[in-house]
Amino acid sequence: MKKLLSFFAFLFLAGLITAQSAQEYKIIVHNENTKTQLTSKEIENIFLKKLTHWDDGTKIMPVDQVSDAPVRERFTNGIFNKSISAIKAYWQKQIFTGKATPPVEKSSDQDVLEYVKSNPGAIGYISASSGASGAKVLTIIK
Amino acid sequence: MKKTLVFLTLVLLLPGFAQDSYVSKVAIHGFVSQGMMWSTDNQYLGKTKEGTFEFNELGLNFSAQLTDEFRIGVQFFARDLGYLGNDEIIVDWAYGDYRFRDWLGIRGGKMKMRLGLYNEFRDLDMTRVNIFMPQGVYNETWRDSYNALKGLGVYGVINIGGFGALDYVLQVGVVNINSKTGVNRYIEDQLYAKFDQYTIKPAYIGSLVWETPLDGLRLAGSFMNTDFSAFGTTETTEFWKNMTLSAVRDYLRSQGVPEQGLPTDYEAARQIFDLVGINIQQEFRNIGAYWISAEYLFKGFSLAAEYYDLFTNYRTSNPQLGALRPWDTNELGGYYGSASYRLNDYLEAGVYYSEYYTNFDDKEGKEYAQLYQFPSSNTYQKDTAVSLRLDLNEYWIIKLEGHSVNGTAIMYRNEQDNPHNVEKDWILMAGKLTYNF
Repeated sequence: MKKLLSFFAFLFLAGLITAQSAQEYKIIVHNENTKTQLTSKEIENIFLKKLTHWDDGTKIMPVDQVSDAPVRERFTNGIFNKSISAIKAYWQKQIFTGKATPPVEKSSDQDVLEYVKSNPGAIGYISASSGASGAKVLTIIK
Repeated sequence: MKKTLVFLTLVLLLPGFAQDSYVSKVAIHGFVSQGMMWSTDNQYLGKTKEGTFEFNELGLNFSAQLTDEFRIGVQFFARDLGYLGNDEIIVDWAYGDYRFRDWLGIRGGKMKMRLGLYNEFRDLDMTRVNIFMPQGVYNETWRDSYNALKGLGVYGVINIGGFGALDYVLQVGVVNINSKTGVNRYIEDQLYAKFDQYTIKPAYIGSLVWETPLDGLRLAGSFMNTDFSAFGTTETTEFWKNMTLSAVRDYLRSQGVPEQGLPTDYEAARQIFDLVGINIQQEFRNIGAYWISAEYLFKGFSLAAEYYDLFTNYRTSNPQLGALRPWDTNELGGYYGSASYRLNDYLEAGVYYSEYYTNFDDKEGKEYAQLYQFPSSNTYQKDTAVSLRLDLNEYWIIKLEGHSVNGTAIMYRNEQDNPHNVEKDWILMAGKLTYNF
């Protein structure tokens, strides 16, 4: 039993050490969106479709990036504090009980930007180094 | 239910309907799995001592978001788990869902029952590391009855600011218990009788999950209340072991046996008289079950613990004679603790320890053994499991699992494979290949 506990303690510490602290993504919404900032929890709830409407009643349209996009891992770690696999498991639970379907996925920052620019209710994330011309970048409150 | 199913299928699949823009909103998903089980000493749910491939599942669902608020869907499901399922295709769930607000939605049709944290997802092999969920709380043989109900549900998520969020579900409807389900097998196993008809009162379910301010920590409580009765006939004289001697004497008296010929003890009655084929009714009243759950997810770690308790009043009666066994009570249930860790995109490992008891008042089975002359280990099952999950890619998963088990509570004993001399300590190994899309 002691060995088992030591093993899990080691894995836990290893996870902490490798956690990335730097924010390497930015959250973008449509230019007409009145929001200027969101908490991490609000972003999490939006991308899990637990929060479905903006304050003005507009339907929120989250847009994700494909699972092998490097920014997706950074976003998932930063916002959800969980692995991509855990988030996928969450969506499989929603799909196979008929409750909801996951956000649409785009394969690049540019595609996400275009989607956000063309949908007033959209919200997405792109790499910190990518330009967000035509969209609004929100401040993330931890 | 058939009408609902026809309606949903028409809406989702007919080409005429699909010509409009909704066709782009129809999502189709599915999964198929094939497993293998092998055990030492005892047959578990099937012919596992020889190794069995009677262990597969298939699910296919169609769903559509018709408006921002309204969605419908249906899932077909079939499974074979030893004696259970036998690949019969059923409607797993089929319902319409109207979400007025984030904090209020309503569902109607056949829907999953939210009991504990994971009951809704027990079919979904790809969402967990283990093959068999902890049997102390998620009894595999009762899955077809605890899985879904036909009725109405209300649900929502209420944000409570700095205290997190409350995710609630209220459901009312009829559960699935019939002569093919595992619950029926359990009752038949206990009473040495054959039941072919059931009357079931609506089940009431409430479930509350608190998403705590501590990221990744969820605490939950659920309850269920229902009643049902089973009608059938006795199969062997063993049935009368459960009944009172006065009931035996009353029955024989009704059959014209003179007073001086009535037996003075059960064994005498059993040896002298044919007591098989008697009509009986088994009633369960005020069945109340509750689940208390906790889960913590952090990075690749997943920790969970749950407690389950089911209380019922029950009696056995005959239409002419009345009670053969007067009203009595029983409290069963169990608990488990589990931990898993995802090492990388491909590999996840997990362990759990689970205990299950058929009677909380007789955990060691001493009274049971004395009364029925069966092994006391029939009343408990303590299971230590180790699981390994390998994700070959996004769609294919391989799992391997080993169980070291003490006790045989969740095991059919009146099957020809498992006569009463089951072994207390045994091993179960399982492997499973799953594809999902």
